[in-house]
Amino acid sequence: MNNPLLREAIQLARAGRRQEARDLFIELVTLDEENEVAWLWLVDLVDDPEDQIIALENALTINPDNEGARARLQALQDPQAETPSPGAPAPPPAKASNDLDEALMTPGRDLAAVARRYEAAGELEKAVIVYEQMIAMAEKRTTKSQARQRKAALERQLELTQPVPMHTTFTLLRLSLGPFFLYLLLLVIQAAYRPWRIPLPFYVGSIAVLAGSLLLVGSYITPHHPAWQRLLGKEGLRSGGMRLLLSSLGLVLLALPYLSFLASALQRLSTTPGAPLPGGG
Amino acid sequence: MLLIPINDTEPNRYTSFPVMTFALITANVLMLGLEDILSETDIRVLVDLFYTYGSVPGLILQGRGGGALTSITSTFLHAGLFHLAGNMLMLWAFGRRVEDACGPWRFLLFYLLCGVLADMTSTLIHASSFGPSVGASGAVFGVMGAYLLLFPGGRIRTLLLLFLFPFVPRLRAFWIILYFFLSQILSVYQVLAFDVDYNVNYWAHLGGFFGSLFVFFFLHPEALHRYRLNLPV
Repeated sequence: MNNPLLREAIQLARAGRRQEARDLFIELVTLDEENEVAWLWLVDLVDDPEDQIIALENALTINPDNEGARARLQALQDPQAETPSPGAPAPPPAKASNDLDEALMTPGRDLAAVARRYEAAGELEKAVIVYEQMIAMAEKRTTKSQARQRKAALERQLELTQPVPMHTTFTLLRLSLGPFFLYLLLLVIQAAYRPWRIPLPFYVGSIAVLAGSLLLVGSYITPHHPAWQRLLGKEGLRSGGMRLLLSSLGLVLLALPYLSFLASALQRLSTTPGAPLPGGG
Repeated sequence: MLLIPINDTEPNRYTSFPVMTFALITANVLMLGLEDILSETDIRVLVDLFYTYGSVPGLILQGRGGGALTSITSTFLHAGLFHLAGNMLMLWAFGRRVEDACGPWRFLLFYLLCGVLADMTSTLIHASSFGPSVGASGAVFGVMGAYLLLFPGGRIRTLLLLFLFPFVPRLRAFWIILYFFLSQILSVYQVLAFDVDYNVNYWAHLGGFFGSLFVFFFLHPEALHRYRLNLPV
């Protein structure tokens, strides 16, 4: 997943920021209609069933073999399955938790097979419960150990799906400070470790490096930061063209001070005295 | 005992080809080629090259010569094939996965930052020296430190020479990096306590190693997210 926009959108969705995530996924499919992952995420982020159908149809156009999407589309398109006719018996209650209780309470049941079935069905929480039961009941050390390992692996997977919010401001600042810090170090060395001798234009350059980094990171990696909405209005930084323009501007602001430092250092190279002769000290 | 890291053997594949690690190794190899050509024409030219583009603490502190530029250019100069090979093998073994976690351009900035920090440490310690310091080892130690932070359980295929018998075990990166770190500490102690001169800039290695802490300014968001969750980065 090398698309930073897609990563950002998924992070927003996992953090529960549905509207921002939805807007970003819409942006993604506007830029690239063939983005199956974005269409599939949109299914859960739009409320109107018609929009869900459109998103599923688009995903299936890209990948007709997606059976899960096809089943979901059929469920949405077939109103009979959703609304039973009057007088019909009430549908049976969901069997999911009953299956789990039955699996855990039936003596002699192969719990490992039950857990594997839940894993294959994507019901990881139930699989974890079954493995916990296996750990409690298993007599053999190897069975306990395998169940513990499998439980730990599933719990790590579950952690991935739970939101661990990391504010975009933190990402923005973190990634912007690296180039700025490097530039400051270069300035200090160039001034022979006497920062008070750094000419004023280079201090201005350091501010340009920081501003350029913020602009580049902000437009390329965190385009849905709330600051963009404050600056550019409700639409924020939606347009791909605007993002490209701002990130290019950021790159120029970032690069120019480095280039001027390079020019200054190359000019000073001529002041290097000749290497001392061997044995001359 | 000789210990040389050869290859990273983490089972999960890289998400993209490590272009920057490859480019850095290529650039260093090409520079050594240039040094060889220059040394064959006139050794004096090579000496001047090292003096101009290597890091000379005395000149830097006098505000003469290339200054900060030499902090960067010195990382691309090496004093011979073994010097280059040792550094580039370490960069190959540890650098690819750190680049994978940062992205190529941020990895380059991080690599240069470690090289600059290594040079600053060396300059401040050897302030009165007018001998040039060259080599990528400061930057490479920074990359090693970053690997240790991000992939503490990683295993590295290592060439081990014990009493001239070669072995190639897969060792935990922690032990390899600890070996190199302690060898630097021991050497610095010997230099300070007994005034031994190994002609190796151990302070630069240590400076670069501590520069690895700055890798968190360069990790891309997903890598940091996984690091916080104690998941494989």
